[in-house]
Amino acid sequence: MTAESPRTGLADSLLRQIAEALATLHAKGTRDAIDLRSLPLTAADRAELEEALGRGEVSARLEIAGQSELWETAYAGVWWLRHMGVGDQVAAESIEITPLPDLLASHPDDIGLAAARLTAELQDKAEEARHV
Amino acid sequence: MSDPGTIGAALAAQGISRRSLLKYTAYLASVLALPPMASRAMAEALANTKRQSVIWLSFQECTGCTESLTRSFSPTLEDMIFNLISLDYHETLMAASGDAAEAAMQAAREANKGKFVLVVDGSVSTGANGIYSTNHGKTNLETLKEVAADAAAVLSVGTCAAFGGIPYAKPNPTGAVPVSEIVTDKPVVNIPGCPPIPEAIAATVAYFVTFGKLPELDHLHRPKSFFGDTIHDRCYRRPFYDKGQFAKSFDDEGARAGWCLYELGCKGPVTYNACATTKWNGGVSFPIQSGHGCLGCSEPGFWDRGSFYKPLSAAVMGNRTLIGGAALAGVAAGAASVALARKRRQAALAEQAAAQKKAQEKTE
Amino acid sequence: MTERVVVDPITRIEGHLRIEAETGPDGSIKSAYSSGTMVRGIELILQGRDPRDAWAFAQRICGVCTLVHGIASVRAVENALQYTIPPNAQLIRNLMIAAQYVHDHVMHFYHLHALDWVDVVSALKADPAATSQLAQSISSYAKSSPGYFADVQKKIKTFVEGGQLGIFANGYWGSPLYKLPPEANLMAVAHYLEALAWQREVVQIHTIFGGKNPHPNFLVGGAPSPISVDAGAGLAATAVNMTGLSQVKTVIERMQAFVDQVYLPDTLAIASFYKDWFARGEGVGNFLTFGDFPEKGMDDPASWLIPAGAILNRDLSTIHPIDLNDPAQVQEFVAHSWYDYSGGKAEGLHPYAGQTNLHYSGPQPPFTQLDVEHDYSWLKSPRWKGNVMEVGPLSRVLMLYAKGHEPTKALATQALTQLDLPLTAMFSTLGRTAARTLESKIIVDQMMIWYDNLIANIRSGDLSVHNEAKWDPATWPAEAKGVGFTEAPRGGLAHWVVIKDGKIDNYQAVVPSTWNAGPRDAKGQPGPYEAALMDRHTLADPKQPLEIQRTIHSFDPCIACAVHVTDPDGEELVQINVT
Repeated sequence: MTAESPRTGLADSLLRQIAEALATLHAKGTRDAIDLRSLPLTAADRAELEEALGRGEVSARLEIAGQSELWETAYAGVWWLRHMGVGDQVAAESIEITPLPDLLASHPDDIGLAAARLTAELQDKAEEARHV
Repeated sequence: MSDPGTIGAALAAQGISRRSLLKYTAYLASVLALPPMASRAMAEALANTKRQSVIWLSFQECTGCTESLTRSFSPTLEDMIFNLISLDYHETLMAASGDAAEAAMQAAREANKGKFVLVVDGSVSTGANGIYSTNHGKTNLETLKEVAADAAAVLSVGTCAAFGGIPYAKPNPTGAVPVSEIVTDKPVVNIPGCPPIPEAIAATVAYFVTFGKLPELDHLHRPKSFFGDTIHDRCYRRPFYDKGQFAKSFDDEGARAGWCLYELGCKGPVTYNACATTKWNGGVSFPIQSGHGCLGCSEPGFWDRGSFYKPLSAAVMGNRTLIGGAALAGVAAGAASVALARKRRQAALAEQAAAQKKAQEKTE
Repeated sequence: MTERVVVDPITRIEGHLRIEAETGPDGSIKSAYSSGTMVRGIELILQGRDPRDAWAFAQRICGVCTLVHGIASVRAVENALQYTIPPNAQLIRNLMIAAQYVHDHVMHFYHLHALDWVDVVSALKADPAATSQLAQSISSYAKSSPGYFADVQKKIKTFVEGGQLGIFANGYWGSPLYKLPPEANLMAVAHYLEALAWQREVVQIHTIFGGKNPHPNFLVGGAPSPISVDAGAGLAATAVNMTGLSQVKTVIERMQAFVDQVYLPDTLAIASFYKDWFARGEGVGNFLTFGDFPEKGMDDPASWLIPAGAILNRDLSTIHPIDLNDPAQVQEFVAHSWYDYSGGKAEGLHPYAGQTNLHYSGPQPPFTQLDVEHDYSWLKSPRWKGNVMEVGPLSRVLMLYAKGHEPTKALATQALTQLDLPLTAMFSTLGRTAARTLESKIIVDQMMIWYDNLIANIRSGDLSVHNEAKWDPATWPAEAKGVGFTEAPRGGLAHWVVIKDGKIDNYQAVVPSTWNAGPRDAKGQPGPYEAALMDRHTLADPKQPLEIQRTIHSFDPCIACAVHVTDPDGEELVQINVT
């Protein structure tokens, strides 16, 4: 006797929702996102959804408080984000309908700090050069 | 750039990028059933906030709630106390003892008057004027009244603080009562569970830090995002229930195949909690997944509702049929869940707007 | 001329504990008093319930040693009903108890005890490169680079400079009693954080077999964790599938690595700076164990890893046998407790005949001092044949040593040789702390054996985890009574249950911290906490009672456990007479 992971049809509902959101993104530029973790997806539903959306050109792996993975699906503007917590368990998982997920962009504060750091390092180098 | 003393500045000083906040708020939005789009505004709001002062008082308790918090995976306890909150009094964790500990609490009370969050675990003994539980020579009853008077909000963590819990179970030898029976002039949030899911405690605190107010509560003052659905509604074994496949004993073929534990006394259908979705200890399992029915430990009075191994009566189950149409029920449950998620998203749009407004005010 | 020093609350423990001490002009402790200040009455609440439910109630006695009361409870009911459990259930229980031990001991060392010895603020002065050298000189633990320690230091520095000190506020930082060099302090703080992360994984053994932690589930007659290895890969029927079982193995490996590479070397390194604490803080010199970790079953004591017995007056050459059912052996006294006995306060009662009437007679709150000449605690005073007994890691290690358990003898000899100390140094504050580390090593090394045995059983086709035979109360006798015991992390624990017509007629727990933290008895004999504080303690500064913290924490107090009430007659349950 094996325990079948049942298909519930949820993947179909989600695909329709994604299609609607993608059309809206194109027409009005409104971004959207779907939280997968809060939906009662079975393993079979998840596999079905992942297969239906496929993989596109871009994928990224981030190391921040555990791993995060994100990729553009075969449908431009539909991104899959999977966040692992400590211990490699999925902590959050969502589909974003957006030209570019926020997580990929550098934050202005981080950019500011980086600029200051790089300038400081160049100054240090210049100091060292003078002393030599 | 974030002001000095803020969470954003502290992270930057440690060389941690703001993506970590964004990742955290993505997680937070998910567990709080906020729209995923809210996470960016939440990250901005958090970055511009000082660590929230939290005073944690322990009364008639077993320290299981604190132990639970140490098991939180997102955020971890160390992330919380270093980056999110200032845990100014907590007897199990703090360095100082005795008078020095008491002085630390008084200092935090003064410095954050009207602003600190008071967390309580354990029930409050009122029998014989509260003599059954004292601390620093004072009854818990007195301490609670005093400290709560200066708090911005009170979080009753665990079933004992929220609903009285085990000390309150019959015959309640020490006159134990829930916190909300003593604190009546302040918002009190109940985060029940024996113990509560650690992420529920952490996320509720984080919500307060981010939005400066409490999340939406149900009629029992529980955050709706964690206590909105029954465990049964979200249980991975629900399809077996719908098909009428039940384990008849704890070790039969059905039990090994993961069939529904209803007939072995599972209280999942009448228990509102997030165990089936958030799960326990990093998502490894939850009671039903390991093979024992739900005890119903986050419900008021669960200790006095008869044996844990007695099946819920059909009356409790209402109109739900025990044996339903298999595949159809599954599809219906799925579609309903999407509708539910949509409804929540609508309701939460207001939250997002609030966070954006708060972030905007800070930057101006 | 004496001064009263009061420490309330004692923090970094489970529960509510107050210590009062009389000190002489030089600050030396002349007498000490231990008071449990909270009572709930769980045993009373248990009466009339279904005995199969009892574990869940009893477990809520404590959320730190979160499974021990569940184990003692199911064993008590099984003992009463002569209900045997399958070998797999025995092995699962062993694994769960062992995970609790190692988890609890490591958290005690780093999160409850360490700040008595480690100065967090001093860690800011450490040189990360020198810290790295120190760490690598005592252990092969991977996280030991200068960069790693620099990151930890940066984290603390940001925290301290932010001005919100949180749990570290008002600590006794800079006290001359802290002896570690800054590098050792930084290493210990780093491991404080590592241990927090590590422990989250350890409890996953409980989550897989018991569904959650704290408060995992148990089942009378076995384990509530059906094994679903046949149910198809990847489709988790139950948590105890191949994925779950292999995770248990991974966690055991990580536990072993942490004990070997972090906990054991840290204990010895820190202890080497505090050798004077191996010369004070002896309790009473009497040690008691109930025994645990059966290879075959609780009815086969020869197969237990930890033996049962009593050692009196430090005499390791004689192990006295114990009988938990003998009314003349284990007795509880209330001579200085806030309870009455119908036969007068001087008598001692065996748990089967125990009675409890709450009778608070102390000062009205708010108060500054307890009336220590009369009653001063919600804890009773358990005695074995009238003797005050210490229970816990030190008792177990001494018992294993006295019995000639080779791994224990080798480990103890190695540790004492490294510290250049005699065996008698174990009768002390740090002896107790070191014993906790040594037994963690002894137990974690057994876990893989139990795991392998479980896997071997499963491979041979034995999936059974629960015995259905006596599940139905209709199969029970009209009356039955039994005792269930376990060696909890803090010491020997036993529950006594009387079952009548399928319901609990009486329930009684005598727990480790009651043995250790109880007040004086009818003969005026102090409890182990009290005796230990009266053994060569001089307070350098009564406002910074680090010395009291050190010795009290060496026992790892669990006070919610220690306080309990019951009444065997089920008649008038509580009498309140506040004076």
